[in-house]
Amino acid sequence: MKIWATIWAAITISIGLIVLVGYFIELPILSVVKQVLLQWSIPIAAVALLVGIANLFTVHWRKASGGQKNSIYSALLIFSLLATVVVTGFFGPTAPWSLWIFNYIQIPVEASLMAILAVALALAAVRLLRKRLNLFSAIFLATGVLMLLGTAPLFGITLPGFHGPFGVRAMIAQIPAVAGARGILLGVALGSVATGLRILMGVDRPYRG
Amino acid sequence: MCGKPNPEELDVCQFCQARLKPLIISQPPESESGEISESIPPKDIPPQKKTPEPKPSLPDWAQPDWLQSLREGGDTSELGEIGSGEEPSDWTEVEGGTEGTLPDWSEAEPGEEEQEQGPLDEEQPTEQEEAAATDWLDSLRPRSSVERERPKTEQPPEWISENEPQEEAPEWLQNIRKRKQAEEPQTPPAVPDDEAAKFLDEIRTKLPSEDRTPTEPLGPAKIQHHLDEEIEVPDWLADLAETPSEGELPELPEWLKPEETLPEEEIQAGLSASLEAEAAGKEPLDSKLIPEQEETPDWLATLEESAGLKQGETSPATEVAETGEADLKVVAPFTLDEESADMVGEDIPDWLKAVSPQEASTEPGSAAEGEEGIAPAQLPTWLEAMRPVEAVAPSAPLFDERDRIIESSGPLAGLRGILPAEPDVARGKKPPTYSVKLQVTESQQAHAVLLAEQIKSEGIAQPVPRPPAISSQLIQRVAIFLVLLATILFPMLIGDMGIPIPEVPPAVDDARNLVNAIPNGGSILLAVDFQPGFSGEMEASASSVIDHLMIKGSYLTLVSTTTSGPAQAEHLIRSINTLMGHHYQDINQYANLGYIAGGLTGLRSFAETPKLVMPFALNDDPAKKGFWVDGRLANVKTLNDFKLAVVITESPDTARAWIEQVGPILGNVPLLLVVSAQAEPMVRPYYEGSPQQVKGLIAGLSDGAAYEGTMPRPSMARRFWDAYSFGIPAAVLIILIGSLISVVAAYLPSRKQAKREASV
Repeated sequence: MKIWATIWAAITISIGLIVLVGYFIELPILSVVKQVLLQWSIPIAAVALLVGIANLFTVHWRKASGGQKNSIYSALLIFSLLATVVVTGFFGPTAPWSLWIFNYIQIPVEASLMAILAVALALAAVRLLRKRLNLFSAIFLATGVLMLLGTAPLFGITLPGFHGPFGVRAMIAQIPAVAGARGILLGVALGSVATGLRILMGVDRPYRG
Repeated sequence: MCGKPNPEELDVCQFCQARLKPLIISQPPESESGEISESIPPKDIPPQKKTPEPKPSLPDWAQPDWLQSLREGGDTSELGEIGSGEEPSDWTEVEGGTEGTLPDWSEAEPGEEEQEQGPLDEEQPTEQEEAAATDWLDSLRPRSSVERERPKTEQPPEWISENEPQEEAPEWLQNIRKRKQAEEPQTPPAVPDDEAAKFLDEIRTKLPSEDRTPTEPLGPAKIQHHLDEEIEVPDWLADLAETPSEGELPELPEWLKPEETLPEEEIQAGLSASLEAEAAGKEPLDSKLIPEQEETPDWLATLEESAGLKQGETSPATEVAETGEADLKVVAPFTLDEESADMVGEDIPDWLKAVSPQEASTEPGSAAEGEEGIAPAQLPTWLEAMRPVEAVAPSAPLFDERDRIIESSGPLAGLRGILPAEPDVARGKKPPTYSVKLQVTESQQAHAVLLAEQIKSEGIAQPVPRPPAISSQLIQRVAIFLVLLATILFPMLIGDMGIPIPEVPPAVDDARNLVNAIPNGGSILLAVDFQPGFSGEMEASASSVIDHLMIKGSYLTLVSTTTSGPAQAEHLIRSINTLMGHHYQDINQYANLGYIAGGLTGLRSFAETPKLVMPFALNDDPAKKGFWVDGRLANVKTLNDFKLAVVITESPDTARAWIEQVGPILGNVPLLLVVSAQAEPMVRPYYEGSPQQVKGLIAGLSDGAAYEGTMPRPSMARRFWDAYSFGIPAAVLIILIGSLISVVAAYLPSRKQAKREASV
């Protein structure tokens, strides 16, 4: 079993190095290999998605057939899955029936969830100080209020200091927020590089089976 | 010695056979006195108090032979060495003899027996001698119980009678008498002197000659024998002459008592003096305290035997100790206290001076030797030193707890305060039995039961309590929803309220310029990567841009990295078609390439080889060869061939992926991002960075409305702008007012409760 682990590690490292080197060195053969490898990732990812769908189906099938608690929802999920697969597969993803499912079921459902989120966030903001009354909570709440106030006119009234490209909202969004975002992006980039190097060096082996 | 009460008429303790009434003694033997004098240092001599002069001593004829024998064997000079090597002390002199000389009654020499007068001597005694005889005889009478209970304030014993001429008795004796008078004054038995004298005369005449001048002291038995035969014995003397039974023994002088019957105080004093003498390097006192075996008179020996306890019996002293207190009514044995020391003066033997009133003593262990036939032994120095010394002062003898232990076997049976023959460690004791069972108290048991119940309850799924049907949170949610709904529906119902559109920010202006710059009919790469839930915001934000592109007749190439992207793209196109009146319906206006799998890798692959990755379109015409071949994208080889790349997404990660993976491939093709308001902070750095990776940025409904303001006709954003303008302030007001109310409602009761607790 140890030899197979070595083989998988060798494959992973070699492919990663080829793709990485292909970014920096423009060689025709290297570019071709890189492209081939990248193209191979697409169907592999697609098949992985199918495997996930199959697993989801199996779990909920067991749940629905086993008569467990809340199995009706599993049955509904299975029905929805099968119906969508059948309709979309038969008519096409952009066929009217497929779009009808998307337009009248998927979009309304997800949009409703977002609308509930708005009410829940408002309620959470109301209870924030009650749960945790401290300086940072107050700053957080004040910043949210300022950003909201600067987003749109207050009942049609535009406040010079609040609204506009140079208002409070713009200043908050473009200076402190962007600064924080830059730091986050840098951290994410460095983390990605480190993770990639670890995989290339064989330290991390997420493909262990 | 034992401290138990005894009738006053008794001369000997009925419990321990100790002498209750001291006798006036003669000079002790030389050896004894000499040894004693060496062992008692002068510093240990208690202070002596002046006492009145004792009465005249007994006449020689009244002196018992044993006393006389003691005088013959002892050397007065030895007694004088006790303290400071002086001549024998005056305590041995009863009559008013000169200091340094023994009283006549104690100076009986074998050769002077004829000169000395015994109790049966035919010579007529002098008045003093008769008085002295009367005194000691009186003292030998058994005391009645009534007389014994007399308080100490009564007259002292007879032998310390005040009638005696004080000047004649030695000083030490006087002191003793005074002390005794002060401590235990007892009324002497009322015996008329005439009767006593008469009786004595009778005794003298009746006794055989050999007994008149006995070589040995006459014991009570012998006296009784003679008395029974010929003489009518007075009652007082008859009682005295009775065979001493257990508990009724004539009183012996303390210093003549054998070691078993010596008072505890004296023994203690002697022991302490012995210890000190040993420490000082002198000879111990033991040999001085204990008279020699051959000098013990018979009647005294008889007293010892009868006073001795039978084996196994409890000594009276033990009984006294067990009672826990000393009977103050008990006549304490004679010990040399300060008064006695004063009386005795400098001539007190050292061993006698060592008898300190502070030394309390219990019954000595040697006093318990009562087995018949066992002669008193000379105790070794170390043993004598271990004897507890009884205090002479009129205080209750101290009882050591250890003295409660009474020896039950062996030669020391009945004695108290004896060291065990074997240590406690070696004694065979049954090992204590410890219970193997765990001893658990009731409280521990209760705690264990509680703990077991808690552990057991952890494994059992507790039923989740049903929340109340109507809770405060539900009410608040409903209230917030109603307020927001009202504020949003109001402008929609009213219609266009003419709320001003915000100013065009630079990013929006750049985006507008980008779109304006593309040629008409150019190919536009349009990535629709937002979730259906964000359809309302994203479509409203991107509608103006897409409308602008449609107005320019651009060929839209729709692609998506989300699974619902193709459908979302179709929905977007159809919505704009419906709202703005466009007719983008077939492959000739737009191409929906579909979903790009593989995440970042697929996107990178698409960026490098779009035709290979997405060779087909969802709305392609099957009759044709393909839009990549003979359609509007036949001239497009790579992404560089597109005129503009527009990415519509609500996720900052998706935006970053397009920027990082596709942006380098795009080259000179501008990248325009239409993002939600939540992704703006993460995307703006790419717009504001240098080199500028994002050429245009439209963030949220406000920027979409601003872009729409640049267009000649309103679109979807303008329809939502009025409701948006009312809804946002309403939300702000809800948050502010609700926070204030919740804070006040939360902390006011707590403050009240804190005040209540403080007041309590």
